Amino acid sequence: MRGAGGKNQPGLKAFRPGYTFIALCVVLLGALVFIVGSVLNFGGDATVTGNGHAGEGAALQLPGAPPGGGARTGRPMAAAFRAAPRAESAAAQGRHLETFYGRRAYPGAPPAIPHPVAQDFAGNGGARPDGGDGQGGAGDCIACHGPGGYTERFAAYAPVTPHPEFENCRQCHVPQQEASGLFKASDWRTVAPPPLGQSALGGSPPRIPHSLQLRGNCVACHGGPGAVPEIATKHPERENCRQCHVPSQSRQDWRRP
Amino acid sequence: MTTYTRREFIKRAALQSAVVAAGVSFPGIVFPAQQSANISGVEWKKAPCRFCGVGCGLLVGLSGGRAVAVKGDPASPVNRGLACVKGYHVVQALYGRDRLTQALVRKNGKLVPVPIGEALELVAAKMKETIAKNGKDAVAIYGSGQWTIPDGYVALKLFKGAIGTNNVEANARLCMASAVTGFISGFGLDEPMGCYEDIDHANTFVLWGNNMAEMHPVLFSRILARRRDDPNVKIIDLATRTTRTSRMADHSILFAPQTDLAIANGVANLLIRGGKLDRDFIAKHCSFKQGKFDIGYGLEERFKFKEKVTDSSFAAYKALVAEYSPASVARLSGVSPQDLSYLASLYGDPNRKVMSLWCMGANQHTRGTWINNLIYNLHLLTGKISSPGNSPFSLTGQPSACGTVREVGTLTHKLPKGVVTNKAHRELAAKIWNVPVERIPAKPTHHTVDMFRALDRGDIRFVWIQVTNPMVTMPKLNRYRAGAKKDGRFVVVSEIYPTPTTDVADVVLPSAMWIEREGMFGNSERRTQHWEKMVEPPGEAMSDTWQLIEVARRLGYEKLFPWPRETHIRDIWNEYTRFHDNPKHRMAPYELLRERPGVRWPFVNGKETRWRYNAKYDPAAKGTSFDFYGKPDGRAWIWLRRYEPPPEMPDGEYPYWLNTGRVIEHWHTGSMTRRIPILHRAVPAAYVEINAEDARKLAIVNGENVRLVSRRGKIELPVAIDQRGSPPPGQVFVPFFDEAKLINELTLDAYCPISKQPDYKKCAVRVEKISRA
Repeated sequence: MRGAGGKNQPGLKAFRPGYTFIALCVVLLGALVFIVGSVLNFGGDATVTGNGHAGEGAALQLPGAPPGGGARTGRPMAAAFRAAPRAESAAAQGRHLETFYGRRAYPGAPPAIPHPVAQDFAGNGGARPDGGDGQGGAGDCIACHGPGGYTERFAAYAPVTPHPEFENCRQCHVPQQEASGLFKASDWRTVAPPPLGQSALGGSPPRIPHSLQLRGNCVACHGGPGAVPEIATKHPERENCRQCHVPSQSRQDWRRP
Repeated sequence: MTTYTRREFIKRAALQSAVVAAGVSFPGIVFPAQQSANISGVEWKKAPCRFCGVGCGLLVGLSGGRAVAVKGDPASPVNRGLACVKGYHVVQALYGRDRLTQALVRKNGKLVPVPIGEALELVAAKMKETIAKNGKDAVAIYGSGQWTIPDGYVALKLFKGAIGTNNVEANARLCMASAVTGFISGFGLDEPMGCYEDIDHANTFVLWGNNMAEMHPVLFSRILARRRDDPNVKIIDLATRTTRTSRMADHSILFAPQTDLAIANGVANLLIRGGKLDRDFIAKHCSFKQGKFDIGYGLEERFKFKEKVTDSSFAAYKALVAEYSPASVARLSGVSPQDLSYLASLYGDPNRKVMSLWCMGANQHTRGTWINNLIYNLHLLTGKISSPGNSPFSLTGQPSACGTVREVGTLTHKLPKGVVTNKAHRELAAKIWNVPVERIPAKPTHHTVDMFRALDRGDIRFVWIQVTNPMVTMPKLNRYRAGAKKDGRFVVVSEIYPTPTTDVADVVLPSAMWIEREGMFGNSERRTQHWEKMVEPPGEAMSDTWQLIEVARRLGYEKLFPWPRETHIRDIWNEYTRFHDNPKHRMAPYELLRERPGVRWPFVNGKETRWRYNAKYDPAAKGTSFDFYGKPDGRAWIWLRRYEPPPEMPDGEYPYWLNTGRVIEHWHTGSMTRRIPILHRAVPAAYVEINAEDARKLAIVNGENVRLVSRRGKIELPVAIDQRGSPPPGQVFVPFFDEAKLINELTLDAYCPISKQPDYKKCAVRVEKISRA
């Protein structure tokens, strides 16, 4: 499995006998998961694949199965969407796509925390029965970023986290003391975010142009209260996002083997 | 158009359908014709993270010859797609504007740029001159747990096999030495018996002085995920101050510094008194041993210590731990008898699978070897070891402390296999290196603290420092900085940025870092991870491996370092792994390392060994159950160790304990992370944490500058009250990343006499309010 599903290293030239068999197994497995996944999706329940806790030896580990945020689509997501204020809330506060990417070192990077956070604030809690901080969950990141919505404390609309299952928020998200400037200047450059509206036929639904790793909950960026207008969905009434929008895994056309 | 063989096509198709099903963008394939300058056109390649010992697999996004993005590698069993804030931004460490791109040589007191060939020539000439004038033991190399495996191997071979001096040390001495002596004394072989998979099987996690939420965040998240899945899971934080880990733990137990020794013995005592032992396991698989007591602290110049091991017995052990009754442990440590028996109930419960985890709290300890032994004792008494979920687990700080320093053996007493004092081990090295065995000296020279003392004394005249920043990290820094700057000392530093260590250098060599060259790291779970060169190093920067080879050739050792530049990493790996060609340590072949997201050793019959010493999992173990084959008696050793106080404790003049450490945002001395904008802005400067009650007594408020004074130095720092961490009354904590606030000017250079690892966690200071007069 690892051999077939691992890296596509340029140095990897030699294929052992038995590769075909393994590859075929993966194909079948992939197809199975795809079908099962679709069935569950159309059943209206959230499917969460690849929670990232299967052991290395676990039989059903897919190559590339993301930790958190798999195909989390369907009714709960749409319900969350309906419960949340409209995207205009971000725009009303002057937040646009530029702001969105401005908080990230590169497209896909964990965003910095744009508001002050008490240093003693562990950030965890939502998934703990006692809230993790001994305060019943009040005052942790999840208190605002779980449901999303308006928070008086910061007079802002809190975006929903796409991966509420991770409790140690400040493992990846850190507040910034902008006033401190840089320690030394940097020559860092990154690439542009994916262009918007990449639809194949002009009017057809645009494909998903980014990785879904840790970002499997579409509402977090495209529909929740934190959504900036440029990427906010225009049809929030539809529940099953990936009925029409699919990730693009390859730009190679299919060819008969 | 690209054409594929049928097999390639099936492989690609398989992968695509599988990843589509899993719902992720496929990270590997790029079609140059269609590559664009946005994120969808980025090419992704695997590398282990540059930072800590967890060894997360990352996918580095590449575009236009530059690293532009990072993802956690979903195929890596270590982190399963997750990283931490340092890992997600690690690629920015390549692009600080003050990156060293040229060699520098000190001329008339100033570092001036020279062509790198000229600098390498000077380094070789200076080494020759020093050896001719002062002998082989006057030259030394000081490396790092951030050395790649080939860096360390070439350094070791050059100094021990070619020049013939044991003057090889690495900063892992400051970080992992007590873990090593703990393993060697207990099991005869270094590195953990278990692996990270233990986390998925255990339901009890006892963290001994380990702020895992900040220091090993990805593994800590894996523990948190375990707890979310299973309400029976307990996380116990044993610590000297309240941290983010304490706040996320189910139970936090604070203890007075150094008294972890008493607590461990106290738990053992309760296990014995409560009849919670695995008597069968002890009878079949354990021996009782006693070493010396009152072993000193290494503060005297030219301090020497030799352990004396005597056979002991269960009765003697029982009598020793009986001195650690709950009441006496409470008096020493402040831990209540209830908490102590709670700990004992967890270790002693046959239905609980226990992982103990520790890192610097236990290792940076003047009795570091002892506390490592005492934690193993608890697992041996209860038979909770070497099986899934039952795992005493020594975490490492650096990405290749295990892979390079411990496995290659870049320490004064070590060889890739075994120790210099062992004739058979020297003979094996001489055979593989094709050098006369007499060239490898049988006597170790200086461990790290003594190496810098020797530089100060003048016994060492030339030192080459690679991938580490000792002018920030040495304890009692003022002495060692003055020593390095003395006349007649020649200091070469291989670095990527200017640091306080390059400030004292006579030659600075610009290094290629991480993905600017090919390399391997070895992480805490015996996993070796390879990465290929992905981007060009800036200017004349050159990998540390190649710098060493260039100098070795200039010293006349071309025959020992014959590898062509294109294949030298593979060639070095193939030579190095001959040292470990046995079922107890066999390493994976180079080709497999290129292919997989790391491979754990022992790699035997095409399989990784997950649990050592257990015949069910370890092909080197004989019989049907456990076989602690590292020791001549086939048993694991339970050690009789006691509580002994540290050399310096708070008193009337210096009433506070000083503890030092890291924060999640910064790696060690910050030479990389401070050049990463998001990390620097998160924690721009050092501070001192102080208890609110103490602050009130001293009439100081949050953010106010105070002066910290020890017997060795003083600095001013802003106060942080109840911020990221909260020390109890009588303690202060300062992170060590800030080169403008050198806390190590205050720390003490006392060390564990067995491991020679200094204790950065305990010395005495006073806190002075700075009057505004």
